[in-house]
Amino acid sequence: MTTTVEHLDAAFAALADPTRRAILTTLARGDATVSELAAPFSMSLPAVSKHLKVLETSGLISRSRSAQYRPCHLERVVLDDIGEWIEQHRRLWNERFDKLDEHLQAIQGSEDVTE
Amino acid sequence: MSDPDVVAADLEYSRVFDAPRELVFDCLITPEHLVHFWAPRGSSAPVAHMRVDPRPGGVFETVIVSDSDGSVYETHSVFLEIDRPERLVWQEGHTGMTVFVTLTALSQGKTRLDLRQTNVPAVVRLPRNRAGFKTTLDKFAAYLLNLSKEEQL
Repeated sequence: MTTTVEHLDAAFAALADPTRRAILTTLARGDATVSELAAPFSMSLPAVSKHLKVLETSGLISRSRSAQYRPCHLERVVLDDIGEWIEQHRRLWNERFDKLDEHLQAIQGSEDVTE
Repeated sequence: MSDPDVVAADLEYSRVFDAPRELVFDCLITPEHLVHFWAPRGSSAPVAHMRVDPRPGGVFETVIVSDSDGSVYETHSVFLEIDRPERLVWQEGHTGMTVFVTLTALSQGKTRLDLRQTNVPAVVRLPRNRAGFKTTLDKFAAYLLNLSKEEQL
């Protein structure tokens, strides 16, 4: 499956919710059914199903069509893409702040340099 | 889709600088300072192509030029808030991406810069090589990946 920009978009939105993050954490340990996922929450099955639908639409999880209980499965490819995207952006701001730090040292004189 | 539960995630980043916050603030809104740090490694952000009008409604535009192939990446933002030396907010016109910068004075003349970006999903529609932020999402994604890798072993 190819991860498109739309996938990332939906995945970020899906990750913004704490219940959905908790569901993903459970799925990171292995596939699970809706009732297994609902167990830790004081939440109805339909409410949990709604969260699962958001996660499925975002591509973060998939659900088996064959098995009777349709277990949910974490899609690592999408997670990898999110991690990669954030890492690229994190690196850029890191570089900017490194350079700003050097610039501030330079314009204030180098008396505070500790290296 | 208009699921009301679906909201944009915020990304956050912090750094402490050994400089007074007036100076850090001025670096963020002055082309002659920005030119020293705005462009990522392997590129430059020429002063000639910057437009920075630090007042609410004023423009904040930059052009980042790649050293290797000369390709350019433009940013077009508008300042929403300018409150020297504490707070700076700008918004990308076409994406709605909003960046909130808060500067806090620390002891010994140091300054903490806290940067928060909202409307993150809108940002992923843009080309790569733009703003990036360390984030709780970052840690969460890494955490999940580690968990799932452990399970696969």
